[in-house]
This record gives sequence, structure tokens and C-alpha cells, in this order.
Amino acid sequence: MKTIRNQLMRRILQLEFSLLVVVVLAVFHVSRGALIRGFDENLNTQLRAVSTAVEMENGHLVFDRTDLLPEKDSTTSGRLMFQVWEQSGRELARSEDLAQSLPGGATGLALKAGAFDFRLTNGSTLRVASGVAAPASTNADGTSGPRMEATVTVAVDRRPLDATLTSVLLALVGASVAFMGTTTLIIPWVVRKELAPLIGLAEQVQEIKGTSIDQRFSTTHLPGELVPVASRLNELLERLEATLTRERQFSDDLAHEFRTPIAELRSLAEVAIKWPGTWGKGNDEEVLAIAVQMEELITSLLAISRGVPGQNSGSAESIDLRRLIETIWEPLSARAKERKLICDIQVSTESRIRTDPALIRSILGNLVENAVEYTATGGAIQIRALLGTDDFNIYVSNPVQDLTQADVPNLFERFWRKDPSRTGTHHVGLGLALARAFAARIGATLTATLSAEGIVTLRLSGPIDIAPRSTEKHYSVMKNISPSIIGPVVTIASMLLIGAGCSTDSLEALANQATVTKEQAQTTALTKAPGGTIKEGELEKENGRLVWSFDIAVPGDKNITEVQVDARSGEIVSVEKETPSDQAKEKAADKAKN
Amino acid sequence: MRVLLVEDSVRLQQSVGMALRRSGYAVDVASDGEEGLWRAESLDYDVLVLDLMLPGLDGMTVLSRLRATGKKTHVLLLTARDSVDDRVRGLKAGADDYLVKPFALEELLARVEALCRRAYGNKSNQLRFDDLEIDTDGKTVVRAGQPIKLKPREYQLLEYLAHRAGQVVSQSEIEVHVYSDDVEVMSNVVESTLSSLRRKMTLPNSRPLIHTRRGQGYILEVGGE
Repeated sequence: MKTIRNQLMRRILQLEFSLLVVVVLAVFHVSRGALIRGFDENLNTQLRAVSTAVEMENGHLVFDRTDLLPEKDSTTSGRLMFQVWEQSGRELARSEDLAQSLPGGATGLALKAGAFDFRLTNGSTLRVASGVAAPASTNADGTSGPRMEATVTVAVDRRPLDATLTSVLLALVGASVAFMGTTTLIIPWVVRKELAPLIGLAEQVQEIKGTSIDQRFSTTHLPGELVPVASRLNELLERLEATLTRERQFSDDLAHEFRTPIAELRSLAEVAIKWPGTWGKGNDEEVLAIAVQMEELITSLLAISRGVPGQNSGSAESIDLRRLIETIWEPLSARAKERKLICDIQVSTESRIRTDPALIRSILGNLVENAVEYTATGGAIQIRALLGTDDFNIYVSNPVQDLTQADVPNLFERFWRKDPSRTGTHHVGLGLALARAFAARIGATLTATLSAEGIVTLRLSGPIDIAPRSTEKHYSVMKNISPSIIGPVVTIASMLLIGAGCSTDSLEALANQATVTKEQAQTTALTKAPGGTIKEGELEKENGRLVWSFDIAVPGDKNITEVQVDARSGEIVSVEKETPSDQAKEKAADKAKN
Repeated sequence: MRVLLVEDSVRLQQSVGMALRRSGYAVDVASDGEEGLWRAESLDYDVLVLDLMLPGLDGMTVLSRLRATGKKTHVLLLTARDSVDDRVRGLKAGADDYLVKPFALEELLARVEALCRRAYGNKSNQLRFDDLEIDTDGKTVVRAGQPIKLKPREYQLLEYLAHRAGQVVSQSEIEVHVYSDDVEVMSNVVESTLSSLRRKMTLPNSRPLIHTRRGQGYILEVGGE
């Protein structure tokens, strides 16, 4: 895997290797130069020594070997070889065992300046230096004689020099390998040690799962470069946790809000099924009330998610605030009077704003309704509107009981209620959340404060002239939830209404509940009208009881005998006579119903 | 068996209350935590069906306070909260069972039935005493192989006596466990129900099972008197 640690180690080792190669080469180069220079200096010394052996004798050049040190005692490691030529090219002297001519004289081998290498035919290499010897010549009268020169070439086997250079090179390579080996072991350890905080941070991040977002990164021992990273991660985690907690709470609340009505529906249905005949008209109304309650809940949630109260929002109009508030107050005044509440409306007749009428009405309606609902009996509600040049502020204040400062931020939370029991069906804790969502739609803000005296004030602030925003933004959770909830709610309500014998009766649904067949019921019914003929027979719910109902015509009798047989027990439920006039009325009623 | 249903939803009070009554329980209903606690402390209910989210005192507080008084009434928690934490908290607070809304009525009845049996140390729904067999599920009574048809109140009384077979049960205990608050117990109603019960249980050559202990109460036992 490509990691910072591996990359860093690779880069450091590559760099180290490159530097080492350069250093080794440089050191070797310098060492080699120094060694060769020393070798050459020695060779030149030898050259000068050999040159001194060239003498003038009787006007001729002679080579006096006695002046030479023993060749084998040469200061160079190798044996010294030499060859001397006269100016004419005639060889004057050479080393005793020199089998091959050295460069110089008439050999045709070129001389080079300074010392140089010369390869012998036997393959060995000599280090060669050459010079000119011009011994002084003195005539008999003491004057200087003719000047004569000799070419002197000295050579030394360079193997000892090469051996030394090889040793130096090996020593350098050995030291380099040892150095590389050591650093290859040490560098990863150092890198790992120094990157430990980063690796630790990465491991901690890796361990964060959906279930452990409450974890936080400690910044105490982190290096300075990582502190901002960890801090920012902590901030993100906090925000994520808060969001998830809010969503989880919302899901819990949503589930909770639906659990109780569903439990109520289910219990009603199961009691009716288990004890047929217990279903009364009141149960129909209860089922309807539960369905309506759930429908209202879903409608409110959808409105929050979409930020629209109904179908007609989206246009801005000039609103007379005084008139709007009075319109809102009017239907609530009876309830306020009942609770002995006083309302003080301080809104000028000149107070006009331009905004979405449906949204502003919904927001203010919610605030005022809440005030009427939650103000302590005999309390005073105050509604004020203050208009500036560009913006407006509307305040709805009322005294409340049992509300604390800690509750204030929760007022706008979906499903939040001071009383968590959810008793009653009117308030589900969505009103202020809705109002705030609507306020945002008209570019306004809705805030709440609680005074030390227990007066809660809801403040709506916004621009005097606004254009409503687009209504395209939907809240994804509700967008997904609502269809899945609405379907079952409608189905449950329909099923229960069918079970209750309401107008939505389905023959198939009823037939599934019957345990007595039509034929069996007919036989039982005919025992109450001997000799009769079944004119009509149907399965229906009568007062919550599932019955087969037969109209039987008996020859010689103008009346119709209506016999009802319990579709579950097979018992006769009722026997009634219907006169022709009754039959006509029933037909008319059925026609009107359909 | 007497059950106290503490539930703030009127609809659930009605439907669950009816289901329990129809299943042979004497049922009292409380709409909030304070009333529920007061009732639970005042009487020895066999089972307390307690909603958790109640106005006034919440169900968890009711349960804790009830346990603090030393009451050992079996408690079935009923709630819309279904997280493991909620369940664990409820059970740790002293609940005997936990049921999440929405629930199947049959399951609620089965759990109440199980808690009632546990209240008297019985594990089976079949109570047997001498030649008497009582099926607490089907609410049927058979003696010496012959079915005996009893009225609901007679059955409740017999089941209660059978649960406490071998023990003397006072009239007030019968009134507490067999009659709910909405029934006005006349001075001789227990005596008259017992008389009817004895008559129906008397078969040719059978031994009397329900005996009267003067000044103490009644006992279901073989022999006696």
C-alpha cells in the first residue's frame, strides 16, 4: 500500500544511497590523486637520482652505476628500472634486467610530460617518468666544456600503487555498505517513531464506525502540524453526532407518534374480531379520528419538510398586519374568554408588509394559538408589531408555567413537548417547528426568549418586502417516509372502516370474515319462513355484527320476511316482516346512498 | 384476577380494558401516573399494566416508587419506546415484562395471564385440584370429566381460589381480586356467588371442595370442615 511512511523511507534511502555514492566516489578520487601524486614524486626523486649517475668523462657521457643506490632498495615499493640515452639516441645505460626498452632515446616510444603509465609487452604496467641529464663538463684549463645531454627514463612497477588504490576503494565500499545497512535498519524505526502520532491518528480515524462517532481525538500529545487536523475532525464528529442524534431523535419521535394511534387501531380491530358484536358506532368515529390524527401529523411533517403550508403559497401580497392578527384572534377569542385571558394587540393600522399571505398567516396563527393554549388561566397575551424602514418585528408574549430556560432551545424541535406523555391528540409538538420552517421561507427568523418573570416571547423578524423563495427544496427523510406512512394509514383506516360496516364495505373483505356459507345460512333462514323463496341475500355488517341477510317471499303473504343469520355462529339474529311500503322506502334509501 | 391498567390514551383504556374484562379479569383504569401510583399502592393488584409515558408522574417513576414501598405487584410495561436501553431501564427499575406499542392483543393477554400465574407460583395454564381441572386460557372448568358451565364471576372466583388452593382466603381478598372498582360489591354478593359455585360444582358422589372457615374466609381443599 502507498503510505507516507513507506514513501518517506524509500525517498530517504534513495537520497542516502545517492549521496553515499557521490561521497565514496569523491573520497576515492581525492585519495587516488593523492596516492598517485605521492607515487610520482617518489618516481621523480628516483629520476633525479639516476640522472646524477650520468657524468662527463673526457668529453664523453658516461653512466656511473656506483652512484646509484642498490636498485632493490628503491624507496618505491616496486623495483626501479631505468634506461639512459645519449643525445644521439645511443643507449648509454639500462637496468640490468630490463628486457624491453622504455620510452625515450631512439626507441621511437613517445615521452609524455610528467609521469605516465607504460604497458609492457608482458602485460604489466609501469609508472614512467623521464628527464634530461646534462652533467657539467670542465676543460683542462678549468673552463666549461661542451654541454652534452642524456635522456633518462625511470620506471617503477605500479602494482603496489594499484593494490593500495584497490584497498582504499574496498574500504570505502565496505564502509558504505555497512553504513547503508545500518541506516536501512535505523531509518524505518526513526520514521515510524516520528510518524507514530500520524499513524495513530489514521488508525483512530479508521476505527470510527457509525456506532462510535462519539469518539474524539486527543490533541494533547499530537505534534503541532496534526493538532488542527485532529481539532477539525473533532468538530466534524461533533456536528455529525449532533445531526445523527437529532435525526435519531426525530425518527424515534416519529415512530412514537405513530405507535400509539396504531396500537389504538390495532386494539380496536382485535377486540372487534375476538368479540364480535362489541363494535359500536363510537368505534367507527374513533377509527376516523385516529386516521384524521395521523393524516394531520403527516401533513404537518410534509409541510415542515417542504416549508409550505398548503397548495396556494408562493405569491407575495401586501398584508395589513392589524387586520390579519384580528382575523387570527377572532376564532380564538371564545377559547381565550373561557380561560379568562386578556389580549393586548399593539399593532398600528398602518402596519403593512409585503409577504406570502398563507405563510405569515400560518406562522402568526400558530403563535397566537399557542399563546391561548399555554397561557395560565387569567393571564395576559400581548401581540406587538414594530415596523422599521426595511424590516418588521412581531412579538407574541404570554406568561407560561413550568417552562425553564433549558426548555427554550427545544421549543422549535420537532415533536418536543414539555409533557412527554403525548396525552391528547391536538398538539403533537410540531407547531413551532412548522412556524420556524415557514418563517425561513419568507426570509424571516423566529426566535424565543423567556424572561425571569416567566414571560415567553416569540419574535418574528423579517424584511418588510420579500419575495417567497422556491419551494423545490424537500427534506429527504420526510420525502422518503411520507409515502410509506400514508399508504398504510389509508389502508388501515379503510380496512377498519370496512370491518366496521361503513360505506366502504367490500364484499370480499366481509366474505373473508364469514365462517358460515351462504347456503348454510339460507337453510337456517328458511326455517323461519317455511315454503318461502329467497328473493335476495347478502352478507353485511349490522351493528358491528357480520350477518347473512335474506329477503324471503312466502306465497300468499304480501310482506317480505327478512331473516338475519350470524355469519360466524350460524344463529338466527333477527326475523322481521317488511311491508311493501317499507320495501319501497328501503330501495329509495339504497339508491340515494349509492 | 385483578388488573390495574395505567394508560393515558382513552382509546387504549377502552379497548385494552374491554379485552381484559372479556378475558375474565377485574380491571381498574388510571389515566395518569399519580392516580396509577395511588391505586397500585392502595390495593394488591395481581398485575399492573403500566404505560411509560404518562402525564403527571411518568411510568418509570411510578414503578420506582411502587417498588420503594415494597409492593411486589407484577408489572407489565407498555410503551411506544422500543430501544434496548428503554427496555433494560424498565426491567432494571423492577418491571416483570415489557411490551412495545403497537402490540397484538393476544400477546398482551398472554403476558398478563403469565404474570398472574407467576403471582401465584403457577407455571401452567392448567390448574388441577383433586378431580377439578381449570383451563385458565380457555376459561373452562371440568370436574370428574364433566364440563361445568360457570358465569364469568363464578369462574373468576373459582380460579382465584384455585390459585390459592390450601390457603384461607378472606372475603375482602376475594372482593379485591375478583371485583373491580366499577362493581359495587354488596355485602352478600361473595357469599351468594360462592353458593352458586358450590351448587354447580356438586356432582353425584363428589366431595365438597370449597369450604367455609367461620370468621376467616374460604378455602379450596379436599376434606376440611
